[in-house]
Amino acid sequence: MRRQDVHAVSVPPTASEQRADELACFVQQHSQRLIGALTLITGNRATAEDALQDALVKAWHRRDQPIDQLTAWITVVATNQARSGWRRKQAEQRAMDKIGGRANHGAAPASEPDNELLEALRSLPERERQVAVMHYVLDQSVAQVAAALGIADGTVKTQLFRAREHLAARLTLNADRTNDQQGGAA
Amino acid sequence: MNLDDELRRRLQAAADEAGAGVDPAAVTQAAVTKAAAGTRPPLRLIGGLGVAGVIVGGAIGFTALKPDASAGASAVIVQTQRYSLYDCPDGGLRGTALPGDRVFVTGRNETGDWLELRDPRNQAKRAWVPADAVDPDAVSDVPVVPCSPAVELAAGVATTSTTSTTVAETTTTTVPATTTTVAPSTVPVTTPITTKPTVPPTAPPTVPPTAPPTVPPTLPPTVPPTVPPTVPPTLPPDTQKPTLSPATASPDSVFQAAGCNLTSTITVTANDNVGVSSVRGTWKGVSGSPKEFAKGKANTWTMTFGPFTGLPLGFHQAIQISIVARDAAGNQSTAAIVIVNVYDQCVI
Repeated sequence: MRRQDVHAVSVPPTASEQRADELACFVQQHSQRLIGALTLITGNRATAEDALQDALVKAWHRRDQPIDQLTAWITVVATNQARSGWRRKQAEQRAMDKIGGRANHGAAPASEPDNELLEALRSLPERERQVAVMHYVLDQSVAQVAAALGIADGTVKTQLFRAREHLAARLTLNADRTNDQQGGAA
Repeated sequence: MNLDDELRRRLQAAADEAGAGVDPAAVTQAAVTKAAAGTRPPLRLIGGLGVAGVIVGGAIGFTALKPDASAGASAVIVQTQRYSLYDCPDGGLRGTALPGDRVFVTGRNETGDWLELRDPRNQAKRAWVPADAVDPDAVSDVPVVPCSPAVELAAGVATTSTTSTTVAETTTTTVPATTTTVAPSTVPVTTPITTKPTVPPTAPPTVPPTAPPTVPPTLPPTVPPTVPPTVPPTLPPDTQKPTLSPATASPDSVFQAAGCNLTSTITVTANDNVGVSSVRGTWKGVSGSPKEFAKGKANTWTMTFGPFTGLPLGFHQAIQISIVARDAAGNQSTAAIVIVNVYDQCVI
């Protein structure tokens, strides 16, 4: 009888183990920058942390379903969560203002080193702020932002253009804007 | 350095500053805790009104209940975006919720990542949307419901009641009750605005920093055992037929030849106790039959009759258009026939 070779067989990881590894890797690599970006969008660190946690939970609940580009997926979900949370905070603040109270907005950023920039960001419409942060902070291309938000590339370009114009008008910049007048970020 | 580069530099620096001190292990731990505790916060708060209470029903999109001086509170509406509606979680596409639609959330799936709501095009039917599409603040702690595409709700039939909440400015919020009994709740003016608990950045890490944090694969089931499954409501069958007003045709004559009226607009008003699902016109003698009417404002339905081609020379016929309205339960009624004269050439 011919002797059969014996090979070591590796057991493939379960969907849960795989998703856990992916999430752990994501958190380790991206959580700081993403929470920072979400804080810029919402103006509130606690809301940003909450949004990221919720996005992680959603990704975990979908562990039986493959998610293409997990990092982008979590970023988008967290960003949308943050927008929602930001609106809630604003509504809470308005409600508290009416009754003469003060809302506790959670932990504030440790410091505001670039108040001019933060003020300028706060002055942007919500969508422009989100697009600008996703593009400039999270280094997402126009196509990626468009796909993530479910809007057209042209819409993203328009929002980016407006955001740049608004920011440039409010910031003290030493930039050569020659190139930017012609179209801008790709 | 151009403007893009400078914006990128300053924004990234600001983001890094804003995200300073984030402990990945603490983030992971907080997420694990949330996953283990379930996904739906028990209390929803409509901060813009200063209203705290249990509300069944919510808004899709990001407008919940906005202050409205005239009515006390405006209805829940879809805001700026349109959303796809599905038969079931991860099921087939069944429709769209448009800006301006009133949408009521009636349940969720076990994992909380899909919400069941009344189809705004047909309130008697249910549809599902990903929970991401809905502002969580606009949705109360709705029950877990199975996906039952066949189950229909008799909207507006013996299910509408008024729920009032005492609010800071004596604002009354009226929402249609759905599957859950809603008890009026009185909230003191000083009720604190609740926020979801968050893990402070200084929370001690539970995972050694040197080892990548892991989400334990042995997480408990996503739905807390205290959430009882909800049986879809048993509702009385809808046996009432839609009603149709006499149809009108404007103009009452159409012509094949250019320079004259090529089409006629057929208009009819259709009403139903639950909701009219379709209005259809049928005729004989010229092509194009049958044809669905499009819903317009209020309960008005319209259809464009014509244009026609290939009519023989000297053609003239009084076309009788029969209009039938149906509701979701299959009840139907027929309007009086409207007549449109069709000619191949202009009549002088």
